[in-house]
Amino acid sequence: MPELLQFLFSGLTIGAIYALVAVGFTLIYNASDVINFAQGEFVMLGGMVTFFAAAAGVPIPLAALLAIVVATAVGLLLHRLAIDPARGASAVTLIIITIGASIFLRGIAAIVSTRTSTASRVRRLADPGSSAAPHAAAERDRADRRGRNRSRALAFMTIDADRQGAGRDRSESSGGASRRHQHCRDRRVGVRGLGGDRRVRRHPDDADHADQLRRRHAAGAEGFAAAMLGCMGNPLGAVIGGPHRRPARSLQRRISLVGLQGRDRVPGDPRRPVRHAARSARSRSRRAGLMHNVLRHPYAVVLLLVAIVMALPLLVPSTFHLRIAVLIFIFALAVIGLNC
Amino acid sequence: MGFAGQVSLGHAGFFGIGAYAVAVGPTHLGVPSWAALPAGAAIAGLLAFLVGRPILRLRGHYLAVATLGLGILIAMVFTNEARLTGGPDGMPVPRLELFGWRARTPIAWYWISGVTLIIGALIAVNLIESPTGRAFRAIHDSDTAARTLGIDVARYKLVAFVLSAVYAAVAGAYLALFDALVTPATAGFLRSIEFVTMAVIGGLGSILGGVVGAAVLVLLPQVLTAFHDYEHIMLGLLMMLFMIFLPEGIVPSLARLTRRRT
Repeated sequence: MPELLQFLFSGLTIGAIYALVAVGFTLIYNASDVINFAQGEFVMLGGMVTFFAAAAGVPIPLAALLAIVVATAVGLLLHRLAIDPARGASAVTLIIITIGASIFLRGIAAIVSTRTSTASRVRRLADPGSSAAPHAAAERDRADRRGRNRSRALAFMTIDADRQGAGRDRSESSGGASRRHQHCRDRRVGVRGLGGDRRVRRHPDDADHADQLRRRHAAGAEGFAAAMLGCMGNPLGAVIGGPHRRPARSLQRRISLVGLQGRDRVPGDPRRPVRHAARSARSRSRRAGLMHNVLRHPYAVVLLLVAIVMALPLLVPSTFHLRIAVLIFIFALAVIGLNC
Repeated sequence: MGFAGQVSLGHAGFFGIGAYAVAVGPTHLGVPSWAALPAGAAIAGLLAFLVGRPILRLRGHYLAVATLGLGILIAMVFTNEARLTGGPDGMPVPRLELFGWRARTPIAWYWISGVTLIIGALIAVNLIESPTGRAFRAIHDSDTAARTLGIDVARYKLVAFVLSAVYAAVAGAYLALFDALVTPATAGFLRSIEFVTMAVIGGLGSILGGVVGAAVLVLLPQVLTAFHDYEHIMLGLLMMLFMIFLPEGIVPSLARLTRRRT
């Protein structure tokens, strides 16, 4: 039970943060009918400014305040320079502008973070007291190469990012099949165009960086999903959508951990109560925010019934993740149906 | 998207189905690549048909999110069914063999993909000029108006969805056969966004626009490597500038400019 509460509260905490992101999406959508795909980059901007300001000795509350000011200024600039000149364009055109802005901001962030991390590593190595000083030049070259590799891997296009091995799991980048077929990828014109860098062995910092990137994208995507699940046109819906998504996800992760790895480590059979709690968390949220829509949309009721019927064969043991994925999809469809 | 006005953020899923069909078919089922390719397209079309009917009742952003969910689900299946698909590492794709001839050189693939593109574009152009194409455009402008004209909106939306899924599956199969490797990232969310961006930058509602958009988004990052670390800043900047100054997309905007001068 304490474990369950811990998962629930950590889920609610992160869910509240996603709800904030979702409110941002909702604000922009209501004002301009545009989904801002650069929203995740603003989350990243806030995090980066806070981190670098705190690293420079600024107290954390002030650093957070500074992050808000910087993100506001960048948002204003983006509106003035990119969104405003395209006034009157279709919603999809504005969406592509926000995607361009997201690549642009990511590119800047890549340069800033690469230079900062490379400089700090070289400073550390060049320190006369450091035992690594004799190898500083070689390490500097390696650090530069990693920096270039990472910033290239920040490309929006999945083709580039995949080829550079960034943002992928360790198992993916070091897997036997990846190595076996590296030559197939390198044959592609794109890799040659990117300077033909062969994938280098990843430094732990690179792995961290890739994880950070993933989280950054996740924040935007989760916020978007939360806003859509709650109700895009209503800020309160976004607030419901954020905390609703996260505890369910947190508990699902717990279920999958227990189900796939730690079944023997936990005394008794913890899957049952946890799964029950996940279900009840979902159903509570559904009741609270959207139940009144059921009566107004017969189609949504049919969708829900289809979801239940489709979910029945899933009780037969099969690939656990697949079942979860199908359930999430059916559930999302049902909620979307309720919203429409 | 350009003609029927339905936004799909899950087309990379169909792209992935085509790609995995030419990988799984010959490797696990003993189906030759030339037969696995149309089979993959048929599976993608069938899935689009089955899923399309409930999904296409949604509109606007909700349709986009539902298709996004479908795309993510397909990518998750490719990632988790490791016994068949090789999991996150992906799997090798046997070369295409036709009457003892094996397609492996870039020149061979240049001709195969080029000819297929021309055939695909011709079919699309003919379709747009047909009564079905006119129905698509009517639905794009207004569902309600199209319905009052006696157009079966649900049916034509489904036709557009299935056709585009088949196109995506064929393209995915070609990419996998050319690469000789397929990974779940082929069906990832960002790939779908990439496709939408290509269509919008080239120009929605223009067959040539899709081709130009794809060319721009594939070539631009290669050209921008001259900027080294600044290439992504430049890419983002150029995308924004394209959309600000050519909001309808490259091809329709240039066509309008040319018409004005003449």
